[in-house]
Amino acid sequence: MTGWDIFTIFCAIFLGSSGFILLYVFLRDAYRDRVEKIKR
Amino acid sequence: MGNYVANIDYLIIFLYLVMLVSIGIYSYQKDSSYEDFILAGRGMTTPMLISTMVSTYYGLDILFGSSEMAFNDGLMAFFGYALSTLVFYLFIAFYMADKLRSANFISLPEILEKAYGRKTSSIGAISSMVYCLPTTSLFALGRVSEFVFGVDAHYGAFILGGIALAYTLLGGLKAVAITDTIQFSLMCITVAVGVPLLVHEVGGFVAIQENVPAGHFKLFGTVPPWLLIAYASSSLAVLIDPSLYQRIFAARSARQARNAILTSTVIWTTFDWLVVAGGMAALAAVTSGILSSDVHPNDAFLIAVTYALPIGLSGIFLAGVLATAMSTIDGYTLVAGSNISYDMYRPLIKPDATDAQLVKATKIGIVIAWTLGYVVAFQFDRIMALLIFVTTVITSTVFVPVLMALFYQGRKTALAGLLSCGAGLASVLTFYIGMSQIGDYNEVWGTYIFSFSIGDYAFSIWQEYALFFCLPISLLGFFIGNIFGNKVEEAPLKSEAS
Repeated sequence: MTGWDIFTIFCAIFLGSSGFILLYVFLRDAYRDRVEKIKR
Repeated sequence: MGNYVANIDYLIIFLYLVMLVSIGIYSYQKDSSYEDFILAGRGMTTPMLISTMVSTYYGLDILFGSSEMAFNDGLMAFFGYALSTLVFYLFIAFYMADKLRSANFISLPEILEKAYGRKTSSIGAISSMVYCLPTTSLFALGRVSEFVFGVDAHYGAFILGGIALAYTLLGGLKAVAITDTIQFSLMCITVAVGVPLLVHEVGGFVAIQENVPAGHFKLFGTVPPWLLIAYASSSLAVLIDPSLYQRIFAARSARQARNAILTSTVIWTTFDWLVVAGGMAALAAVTSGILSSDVHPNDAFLIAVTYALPIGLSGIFLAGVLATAMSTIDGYTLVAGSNISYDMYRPLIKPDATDAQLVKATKIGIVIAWTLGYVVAFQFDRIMALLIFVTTVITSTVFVPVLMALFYQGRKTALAGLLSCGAGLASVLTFYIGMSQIGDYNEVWGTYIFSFSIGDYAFSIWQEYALFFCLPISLLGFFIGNIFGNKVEEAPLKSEAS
């Protein structure tokens, strides 16, 4: 395994987890906003 | 292509398209104000900003362009081309985001209006609109439709681009931001899974090194140095990208805008590397016989990753590829529509337009921009040439006046803005027309080159060198206009009045 392989795997882990985390945060915020709107 | 895509993959793509339209209907607000429609009420949070910035900027032209460059030239695609863009994003984050967000602007031409008056902002609006036409994305979407679904490119671009148009019209930036967030996640996850699988499939970078030319592993490749500088210079356009500006204006605060750009820059870097690694792995797959040798460099990445992914994941990857195009179409069409309504219709035809009239005019502008983009998309054989041309137009026209408006503290006259914009635009058109007349078309590089010699020295001027001439002309126009012009009278802008 070369340095390029390791860099590729590192980038893939970072990019994949960014996708998951941002989707999670977005859905969480959207859910909270909706609950607040209903309460009001 | 059909060999690698199963029915379940088509079902996933269909569900994804249904979801996009549903989001448009959900985001529809009957009585939204202009700021709600075009800037999502200036209430965008950091996660939404990151998603919409990354997915809007990262279109199919860049996905295919970078992977094609990696396929043909190797590491140069990352070190010589992609990284220069990222440096400019850092500059925006640290030196521009605060100035742009704090001034409460609504659009890029409004910056010109405030500094130089309406004539300059009108020229800026035209070049911004031309730059934001979804030409390259619709062309690329048609090409993907042909490969994935086997339908004619014109129909594919019309139907899939039409879906992006529909939800943009229904929900404005709010719908665009929600769909961009989902599209961003799809893009990230599928590329993060697909590329390492492809690299593993061809035997890792050891096998790639054995199966591609040695020049592919030179950091700056074998491309002529001046052409490399010209490619890097074209990245200057990100400093005046109207769509990026719109995201900064829509942020809740300058701090959120800066954080979003910084995070996006890291994500862009990793995304760029994976696409470049995928392009090189695709070449290795072709030369080692895993893939057919008649694969076009433009399509190699798409075919190779689809080949490497298992059934089901291929569908998600292809939905991610469609997402890459559609998120660019929606974002730029929205900006082009607002250029037509807010920066042309309002100042030139109806200065006292109400919010409802502006929203209606923007929706008409969006349809006009989409239609123009669709018509132009299929008139060009080489879409990269068109991309470089529109990038050169906007950079030569508004780069100098916008940066001077933001950073130059001295006297600024209306004539300075007008001459800078006008001279920049005229010089680009003259350069391109001139090069097509006196230059020779080079089939290998796909561009016009004018060669001449002075004494014993031989020189070559490429069409891609336009910025080297046009930017200094625009700067000269600014200083001449500043000497002979009168200081502009600052009128309150609509965004300030509201």
